[in-house]
Amino acid sequence: MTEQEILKEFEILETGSQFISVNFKGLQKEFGGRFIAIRDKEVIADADTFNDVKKILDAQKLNFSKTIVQFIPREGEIILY
Amino acid sequence: MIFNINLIKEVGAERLLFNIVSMYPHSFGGIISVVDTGSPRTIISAGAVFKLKMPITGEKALPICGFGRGSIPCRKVDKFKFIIKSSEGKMKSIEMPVYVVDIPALNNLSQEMKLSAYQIDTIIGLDFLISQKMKLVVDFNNNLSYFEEI
Repeated sequence: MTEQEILKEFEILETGSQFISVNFKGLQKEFGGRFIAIRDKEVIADADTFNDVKKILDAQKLNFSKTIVQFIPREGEIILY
Repeated sequence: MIFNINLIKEVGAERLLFNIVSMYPHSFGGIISVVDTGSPRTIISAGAVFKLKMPITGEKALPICGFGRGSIPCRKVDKFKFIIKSSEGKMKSIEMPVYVVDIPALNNLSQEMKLSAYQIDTIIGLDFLISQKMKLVVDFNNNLSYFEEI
């Protein structure tokens, strides 16, 4: 992998994690309990399962590997690892 | 060097998000992970394994217990390679043992267990701090968190 490709991955991650961090409350309200796909500060798909998100992206011919997929817990739900 | 961590400050959902890029053979790609000092080990999530198409070839490990609901099958990968990026934009290459969720074994479990497993993020555990000689700073009041090389 070239340095350029690695930096591009970091750019996608940084944009995505900042978007989640800043908008978490709103994401919980709208998508709590679901998986979401994020690209360029936008939720481009949501579904009940990780696999279903992939199916939606595949159907839209969007590159799954360049998309951030995240589970959003419901409001008030505390997830412990 | 300092490596910034993003904070989720929502009450009840507080999280420390840390970005890594996998350089594992045939599995290049980004992962948003959660820093969890309650976990002794670093664990690559089912979602990340699936997304990066990571080959599951490592030694079978004991299932991870207390991890979401029930226990989750996993394998140990002795040399997981990934990159982290400093606040100054410098990249640091890391190779360390990690645990990865064993998706083929997970597929033999109930639908509920599978769903539960996919809800769990990749976890950066205490082994990262120890093996990479990092300290962790978390200051929620000043919206500040980072790893720093000792």
